[in-house]
Amino acid sequence: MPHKYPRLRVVALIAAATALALGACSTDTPNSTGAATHALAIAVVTPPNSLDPAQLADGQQMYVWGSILDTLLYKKVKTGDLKPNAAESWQYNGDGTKLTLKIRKGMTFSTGTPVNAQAIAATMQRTMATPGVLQVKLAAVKSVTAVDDSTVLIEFKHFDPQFLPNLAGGAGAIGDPKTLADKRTATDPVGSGPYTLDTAATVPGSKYVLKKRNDYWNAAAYPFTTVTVRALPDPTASFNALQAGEINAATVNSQLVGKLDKSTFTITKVDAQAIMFLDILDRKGAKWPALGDVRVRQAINYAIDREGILKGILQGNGKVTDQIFSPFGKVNDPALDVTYPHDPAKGKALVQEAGYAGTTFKIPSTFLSTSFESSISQAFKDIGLGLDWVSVPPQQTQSALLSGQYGLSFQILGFNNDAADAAQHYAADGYANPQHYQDATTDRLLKVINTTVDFDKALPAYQELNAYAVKQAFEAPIVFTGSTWATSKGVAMLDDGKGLSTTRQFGLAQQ
Amino acid sequence: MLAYVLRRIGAGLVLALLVTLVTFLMLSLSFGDVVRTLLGQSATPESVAAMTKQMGYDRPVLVQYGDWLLHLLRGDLGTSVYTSLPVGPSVVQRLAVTLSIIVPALLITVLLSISLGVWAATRGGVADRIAQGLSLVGYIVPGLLIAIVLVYLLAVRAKLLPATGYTPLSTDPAAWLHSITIPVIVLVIGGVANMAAQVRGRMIDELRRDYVRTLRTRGVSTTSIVVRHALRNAAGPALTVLSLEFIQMFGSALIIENVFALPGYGSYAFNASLQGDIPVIMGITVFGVLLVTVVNLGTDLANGWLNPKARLH
Amino acid sequence: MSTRTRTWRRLLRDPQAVVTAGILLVIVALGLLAPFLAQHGPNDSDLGMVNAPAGTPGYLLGADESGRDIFSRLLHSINTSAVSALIGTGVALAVGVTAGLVGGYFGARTRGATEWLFNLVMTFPGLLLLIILMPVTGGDYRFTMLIFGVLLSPGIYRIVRNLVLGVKNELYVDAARVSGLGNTRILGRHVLSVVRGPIIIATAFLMGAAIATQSGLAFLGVGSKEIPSFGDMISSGFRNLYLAPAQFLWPSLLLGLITASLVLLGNALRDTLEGSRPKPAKVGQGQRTDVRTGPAPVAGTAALLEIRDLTIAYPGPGGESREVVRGAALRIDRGQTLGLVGESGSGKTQTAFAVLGVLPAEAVITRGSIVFEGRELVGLTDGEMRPLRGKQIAYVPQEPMSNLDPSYKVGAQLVEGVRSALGVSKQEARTRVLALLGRCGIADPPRTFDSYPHQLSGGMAQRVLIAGAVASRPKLLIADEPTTALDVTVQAEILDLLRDLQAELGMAVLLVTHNFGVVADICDHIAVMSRGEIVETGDVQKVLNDPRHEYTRTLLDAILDDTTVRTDPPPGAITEGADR
Repeated sequence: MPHKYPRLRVVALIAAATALALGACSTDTPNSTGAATHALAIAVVTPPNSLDPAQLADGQQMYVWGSILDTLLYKKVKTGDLKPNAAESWQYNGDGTKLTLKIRKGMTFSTGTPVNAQAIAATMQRTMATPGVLQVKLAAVKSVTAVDDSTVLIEFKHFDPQFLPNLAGGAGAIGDPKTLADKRTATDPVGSGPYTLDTAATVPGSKYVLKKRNDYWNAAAYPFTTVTVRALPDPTASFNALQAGEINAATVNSQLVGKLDKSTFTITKVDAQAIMFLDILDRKGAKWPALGDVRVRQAINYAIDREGILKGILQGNGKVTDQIFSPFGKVNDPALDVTYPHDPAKGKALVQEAGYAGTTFKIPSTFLSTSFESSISQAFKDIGLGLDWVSVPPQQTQSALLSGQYGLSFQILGFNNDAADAAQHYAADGYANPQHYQDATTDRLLKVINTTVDFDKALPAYQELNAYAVKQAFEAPIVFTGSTWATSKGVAMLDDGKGLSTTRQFGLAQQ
Repeated sequence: MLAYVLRRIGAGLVLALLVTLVTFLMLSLSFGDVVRTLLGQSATPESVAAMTKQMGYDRPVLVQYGDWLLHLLRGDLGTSVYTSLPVGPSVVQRLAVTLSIIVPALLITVLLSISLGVWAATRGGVADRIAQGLSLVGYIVPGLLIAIVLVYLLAVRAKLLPATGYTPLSTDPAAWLHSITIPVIVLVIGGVANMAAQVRGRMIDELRRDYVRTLRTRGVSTTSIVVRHALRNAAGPALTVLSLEFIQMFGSALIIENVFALPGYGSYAFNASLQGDIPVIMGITVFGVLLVTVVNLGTDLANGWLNPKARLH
Repeated sequence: MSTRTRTWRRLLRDPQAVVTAGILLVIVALGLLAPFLAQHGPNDSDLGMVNAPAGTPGYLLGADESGRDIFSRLLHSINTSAVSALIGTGVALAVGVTAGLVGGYFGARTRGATEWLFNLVMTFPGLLLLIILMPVTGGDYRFTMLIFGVLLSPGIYRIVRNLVLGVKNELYVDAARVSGLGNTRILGRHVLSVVRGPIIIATAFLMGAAIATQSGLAFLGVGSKEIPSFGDMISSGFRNLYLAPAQFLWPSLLLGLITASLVLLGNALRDTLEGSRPKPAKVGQGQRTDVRTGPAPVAGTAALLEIRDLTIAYPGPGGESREVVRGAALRIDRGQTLGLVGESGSGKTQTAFAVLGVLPAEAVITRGSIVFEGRELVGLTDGEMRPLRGKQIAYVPQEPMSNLDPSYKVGAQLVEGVRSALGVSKQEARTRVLALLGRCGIADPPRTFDSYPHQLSGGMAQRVLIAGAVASRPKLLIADEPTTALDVTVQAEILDLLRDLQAELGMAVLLVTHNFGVVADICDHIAVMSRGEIVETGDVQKVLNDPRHEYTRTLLDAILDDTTVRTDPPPGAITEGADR
């Protein structure tokens, strides 16, 4: 999902892009006083907003709330597979309208209250009734009931292929029903997660200090006794802090790796964790008929110098792509990536053939797009089109996309899962499709996807949708962005972009 | 005297009322954006409507303002729409960070500026040219550059001072001192460049006044003339410059706070503005106006103490 | 018109003005020529050129993180800064001047309202407000500068309002006599000429402020990235600091150069338009002398004070030196009262200052000697002069108010003088001062002792100053036009007081005046001064009855005609301030 409340720092762009799915993290330098204490200090670009279980945002914000609140499922680092967490197992009925979750026994909230099915049902019911970012993820849910202490039954209005993966994120967070209504919930919620917030040492918006709970059911998976999450929006400040030993894990500009002391820092490359693409909002051609013409959309795809952007601006962190679906999923087809080589001449010819040469489109300029605007404008110029970047403040971005005033939009979205990718980009109510484009092919394929409970059975429909979308050029995918992590001695970065931004991405380094 | 102070504070309150009203009216244009941002990418029209209602944005703007004002009178500035943190305590906490940089910076700026300014004004010649040259360097060399060099040398290389972050004075005085050192130095350089020139100019003017000559004809010592008489008379106008400098430092501090990742008032305001966090922006505005009122009142009172003519009877 | 040409010529002679204006002109020209000088557009990006080093063909200063030509962006940033400066300053001037005219011209109530409004505007913390208003401005730098212009306007408002008030008050006096011309027209014409200078100066500073603020906001990332600006470039360079430090340096230095040039140009304009700001001089150095061939000292002179061949020079605007006192000679015996008479600017005050050793720092004694009680005063340091001052030679100034330190109570100032001169205890000094205040005709000495100067009338203040001067029983009292600034009735009282004190203390008095009546009233001897030279000396009665010099006659005739109260200084005789 996109980064919502970025700082303006242009600097932060790339870091922010990478950070969408991951946070920067760091472990601490070993403490000389006791072998048993290990501290992790991670730099993030943006601090978390509300910690209320009904208002949780994914991405880097998860480092903080994901440490305090337990989630029902867990997305394994390095594989991205869904694994049991607070829920030991799960079972769909035949048409995917009923989901039964078996809840682990012996878990407690930090207050000592046991975690049971009633608590999970209460949290979910509350989230469904509370306006916020999570409400929409539970939109398909009809009811949530605690069948007994360790069984939760979720009934759906219709099958939602995204639901299960979402349970590894904010939608699967568990709050303590006794305190959910309290004021503290937004800033210091009672949770059943591996850490509690040290409010005395925490400076909201700047520094979050988390202390490990030794009575956590899965304490062994969390080697760090304290975790500090620091908001360092400025990459230079973050790099300084890393070198000065104030943090021990952070993403760095890959060209700066050479400046780090090799005996102190370990470098880990994450090849892909988010998709950067040029979204074509007006696929219908309502305001800009040119964008309704598949030739123009294809021309845009030919115009973009993906390799140049990857090497020039992203320092090679990532991988070029002609398709939206995550390279970690089953839908992505490497064979499609040869569809649109960088060929401005061909693009120009296509634009001329379509008769739209000279058209200029309005596109919002946001904190995410700033570093790439000049390259993308250049690409449009090369094929005889123009772009008019209109500065849009972050808090107006959402409204801008929905306003219909813009033909295109530059986006960086973190990886979710194949189902979410399909829905976000191509469904009529998808985020990346604010003008609600649909045609017979997308309708047909999405219908299959949305009614087939077994993912493997739905896979051909996904693959057909992907191939169709690439051919139709509904969007202009650019690259899967990656990142370069630097961790100090003692801390290891374990993930490669498939997991979520939780402290489980980090472990103790072999010494 | 008391009546005067009360009247000034009253005027400050009226000012706060007006400024907050204007700010609120202007911000009300973007209330819809806030709801959309809060709800994120997949918001449905129903959830937008529900959220708008829940936040009270569906009411007439003036009613909302009145409501905000009533809460303010009860000492409640509301909570951030994003983090749900109470605005009042947050602003105070952030203000404490910024003030703990600005106040030491200002004190050092005053000491250095007076020394440098008086030195230049009473020595003339080479001393004056050195002082003016220093001011010019302070103008040309960006504070940021100095900050970068200092951070690199003192924090990254020598590891004597932290490169980022802030430790409250109450937590650890030594760490506090370390965390403010570089930001203070950067602010001082910019401040001295301006203030020293002001002190110098004022001192030159004062030293040429008739009463100085008359004091000399009575055999009064040079030190007494410079320090007791000229400096004291130069202090009034310099104080006004100082109060403006103080307000200005909030602007400079904003950039410093960003670079050093300090959780200060400026960056708080900046982020709140970016996000359109209305209760926070309003809280910042209230504190901003009150702060300016207090600083101006303090300046006027100090001026009255320095300048008998402006004294209130 | 001629004053304007002269101003221009003076500006052109001021190296600071020429250099800074030259730098700014070159920079602006570079900005305007940007499309021709730069090979690339400011936003043209070439991904193969990312972070290209300086000197890469086609990229004079290299390329930035997006492969854009830094040189081109630098030049185009100049234009952004220029537009910011123009908008910010333009709005500030438009709002400030209009409101200043309104506030100054209309009645007190209108002024009260505008005053309040501008005080309000001034209290906004600028940068913060612009940031708070970001949701409204959308970050567009032109819009932002528009608001910033309003924030800058109070400064202009104050300048204009004060000038208008001044002009208007003068006009009411004149208007009583000269009826006919409409006030508004006079006001307009006067105001325009008066306001021009201060506004030009303020404009230079406002432009600097606008450019700095726009850059600060761009550095923080407010506004469109499509707009090349120093702030954005600095921010981008800062991000890239470890990779290509020069990217940070270029825009920082050019911005620094521009703002510093504006400040220095503003200072130079101020010097030229408002008169040169005095340069600081070393305090406590004593007055400057450059005496190469003094007259041989006269041994065993009986005179208390003997001045011979005294010549005092000031540097003129062109560096040449202008003599304000030329070869002056006079002599005062113990207990004698000498009237030194002459028109304004004739050099009499300069002569008096020279005796006290308090000539302004620019003045140089180029010839002559001043012998007091057989001791040569020319060439003494301030430290050597100090024991003489107050104790041996005392001084009563012309303008009582400006000669008292406004910050201290009268008593404290007098006590400090007495203690410096006589080294007595605080208590003794206080007793002495209180007694003297009573002796000098002050009705309630303790009350005056505890008053601030501004609480006294002019006559009282002059009595205080006289008390201060005679407190240490000096042998010579130099009174510089002691009654000129006072009411006629008070004048007589002060003269009486001086005469009484002189008789009582047996001191000699050097009375500097332009008034023959005063001289006739209390002096034994007279010295007439014209254009820096002493043209006639002698016994008062003799000179008044039988003036031998042409100039003395003219002066006397002028008084008898009763047409001229006080003549203007002879043209071109004297530099500014030399009469003080």
